[in-house]
Amino acid sequence: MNAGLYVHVPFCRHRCHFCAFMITTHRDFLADWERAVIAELLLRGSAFPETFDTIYFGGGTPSLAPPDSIGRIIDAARKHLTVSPDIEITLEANPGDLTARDLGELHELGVNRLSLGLQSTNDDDLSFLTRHHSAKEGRDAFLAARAAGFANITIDLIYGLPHRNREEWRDRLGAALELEPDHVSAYQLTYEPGTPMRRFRDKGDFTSLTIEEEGERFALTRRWLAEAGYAPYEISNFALEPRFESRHNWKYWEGAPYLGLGPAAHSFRDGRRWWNHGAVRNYVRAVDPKKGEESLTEAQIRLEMMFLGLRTVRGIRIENLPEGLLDRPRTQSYLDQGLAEMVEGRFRLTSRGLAVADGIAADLGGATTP
Amino acid sequence: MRRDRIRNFSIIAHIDHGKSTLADRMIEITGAVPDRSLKDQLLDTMDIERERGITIKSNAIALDYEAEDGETYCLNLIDTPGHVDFTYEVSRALAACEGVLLLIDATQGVQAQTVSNLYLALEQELTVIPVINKIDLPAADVDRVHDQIESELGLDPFDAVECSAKTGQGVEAILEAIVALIPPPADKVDLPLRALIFDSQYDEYRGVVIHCRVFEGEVNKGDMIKLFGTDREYRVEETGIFRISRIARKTLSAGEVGYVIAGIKTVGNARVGDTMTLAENPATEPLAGYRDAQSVVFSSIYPVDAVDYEDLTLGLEKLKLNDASLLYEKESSASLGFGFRCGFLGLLHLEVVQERVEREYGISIITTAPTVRYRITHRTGAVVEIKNPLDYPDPSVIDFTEEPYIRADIILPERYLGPVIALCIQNRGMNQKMHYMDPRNVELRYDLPLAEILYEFYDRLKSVSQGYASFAYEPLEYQKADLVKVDILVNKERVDALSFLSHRDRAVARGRLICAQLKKTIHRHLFKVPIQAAIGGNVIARETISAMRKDVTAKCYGGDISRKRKLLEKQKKGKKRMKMVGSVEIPQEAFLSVLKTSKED
Repeated sequence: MNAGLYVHVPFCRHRCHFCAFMITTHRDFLADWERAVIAELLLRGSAFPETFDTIYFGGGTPSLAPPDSIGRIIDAARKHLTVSPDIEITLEANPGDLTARDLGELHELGVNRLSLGLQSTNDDDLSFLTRHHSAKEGRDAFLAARAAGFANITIDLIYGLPHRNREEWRDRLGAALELEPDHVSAYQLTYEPGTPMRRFRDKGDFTSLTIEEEGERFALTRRWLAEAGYAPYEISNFALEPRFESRHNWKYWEGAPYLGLGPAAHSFRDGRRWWNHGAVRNYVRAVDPKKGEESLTEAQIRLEMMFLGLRTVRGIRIENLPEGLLDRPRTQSYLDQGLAEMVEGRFRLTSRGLAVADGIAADLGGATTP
Repeated sequence: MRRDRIRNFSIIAHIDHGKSTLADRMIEITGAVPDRSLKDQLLDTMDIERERGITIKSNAIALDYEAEDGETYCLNLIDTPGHVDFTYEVSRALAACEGVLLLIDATQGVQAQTVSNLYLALEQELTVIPVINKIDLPAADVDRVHDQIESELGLDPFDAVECSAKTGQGVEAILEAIVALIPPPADKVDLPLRALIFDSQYDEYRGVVIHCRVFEGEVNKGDMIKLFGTDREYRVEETGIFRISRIARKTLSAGEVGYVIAGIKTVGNARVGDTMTLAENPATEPLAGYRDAQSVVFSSIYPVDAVDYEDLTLGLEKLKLNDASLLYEKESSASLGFGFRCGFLGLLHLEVVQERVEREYGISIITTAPTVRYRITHRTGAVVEIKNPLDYPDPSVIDFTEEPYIRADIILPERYLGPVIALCIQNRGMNQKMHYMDPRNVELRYDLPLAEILYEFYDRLKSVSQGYASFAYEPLEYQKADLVKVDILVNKERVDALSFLSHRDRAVARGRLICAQLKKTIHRHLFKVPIQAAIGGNVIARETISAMRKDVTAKCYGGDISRKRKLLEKQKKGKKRMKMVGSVEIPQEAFLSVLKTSKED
């Protein structure tokens, strides 16, 4: 199995109210960060004899890193890892960060997939989400990326905002699709513990959607995107053509090896997972930035493959799983209820089942042997 | 110690009137405990007692007091439980005394337990010294309490001592009053031994420690003693008196209070109220007043996790060593597996046992709804008593059913009369008496079914009277009852542990309440879960937990995977705290929440 490389760029202009990621608004560490990422690449690279066919710059806000910094990291990867000629290199960007020149430069460096943090096409939504760009800036950024030669652009959208009805969401989604993105990640708004958004909701500043409404929005989103030609292949991910599916993210869902560089990044290989210091200061100062690790048991790996598989269109290949992981009468009851279906020997969830994938995973997980 | 220098006394009071504080102060002033070991509620040794501020077990301590007359007296303070569940234990502790301090809170005046405790003391023909406590508080109304002592209690207000147990003011005067007013024990040392067991506690290393008052004769180390209740004989290993710990003495003789250790393995063999005599030269009659522990409340205890059943068995056995009034027998339930049907002295006793099993033995348990003992007369004339709703026979074979009643005395300020009467009526109470103690305070007497006061009657009484009403009760005879058995069905399956017996008129309201509580505690499933209350095949209440529509998390990338797996692993463990009924997971709290159902919701 080919491996993937993840690079965490922890810098942001400010923290959005819904965000629970490991980020920093202090950009004076940029140079230290680049140096530390390359050092980590040298430290860990030899442990990965696999061929890498994806690089993913995630954040944070990778578009805040200067393009030449991104370039030096890509170069280091090419030099110290085995890299496939057909490599997918994704970079997340916020509208407004990148000039036409930056975009051209990044494209030149080999970045061939741009993930644009549009979030919404409506100014009220953007302001509620404390995003600093306008709907127009989002649209302009998209068009500029196309003009710079990006033939594979994905957009992030957030739906399920409070006090917005389904028609409003349909309109926002429709406006986004008019840009003709190649791929859409549509995330239902979650109120992560510790975020201001969660606090505001809990103290009653606004009323979040009911579970019924959330379920309805989830189903409608899948339907509307499918009708527009975007095939759902994971809970929140939709591709206009199979080739636009995120090759990198599939690695997480299929248990492929991946090397994560940067603060808080996770790596996984051969049943072992490790992760780095989260605070940038600690990450850049550490001789070895690894903060912790775990060795997964067979059962834990099976459990992960089960719940990850259930989130995707590929589902799980039942006969590949050892006896006891899936207890047959239970899986049968999901088939009977129309929450799951068997397609080409794989057990996968239907749209209705996907909405409750966590509950189904917990239920089936409860049947696994320790 | 010369017999005429001994005073045996107890403090009786309504709850929170300052009994433990006064005891602490007396211990402090007489120097029985070095300062550095002073802590609050010295006589309450169990964690539960300290946390709840209540006394569950009786206890005793000997205080040396040098009185104004220059003589040193031995004052034996016998601490008594302060809750209506333990009335019998209180009466035995009082029987060991010659006198009592009747403690009254100057801010609250005479309360229901003040009266009921006074009656217990008068039944034993004890000298009663009224003590007015908390006189340092701004809200204290000492004159009013003096009036009440005379008019309501029929005692001489001139004997009353005023004090503040908190500051220590007046405590010396109380000690003097004890010496002056309470008679010394009678001199009956030449008679055959008769000693009253007023408590017995289990010591891990020594076995049972009998707390007793010797009335006649004497007991020595090495004597063979005989207990009237069990007719068993034991060799005395040690006798002694109580300081803050036990102090061994060769002899305990008539008039003294102390302990006896005699290799007894369980407190069930040295019951409260029993009489100890010598195997050779025994007394002919036991002391009066012994009675077997009577369970009045029944409930089942099940381990949440079936693997804890063995530990639960051991836990109950151990508790039983120290709690003769706890009765239990094995039982099995279709929904909860193996467990025990238990009998308790009252609801507090139930709660204490429940808490001790969980705390001291670390077992998560489910306690089913408490019930009383019903008496059922079949059409054939056969009479059976049932203490478990599951034993309720087919209604067609029943001629009539009877249930236990209690007589409640409630004392409250006049302004809460309306809501308190409404509460009593709501609980099928029958008014027996209403009497103005003074223009502001009323004494109410209601006969109520015991079953009705099991569910938060006391809490509700406190809440409708803003804490001002006080309450004491005594058992009455059985009376006829119109009962029905209500079953609870979750997803169409009967959960036997939730079945309950109810008065017919109350069945619907209670069924609704339980359905609503279950709806709150059972989480959403992937399918719709109906919850029903039914009498026979007849559904009387219903709720529906709608199916989970959406729970999936939006993102699951590199760093999220471990977290998600750990969550699943945790949920899997959490399932052990769930009971599966059919395909529905019922959490432990669901069973508990059924116990806590206030009536107005």
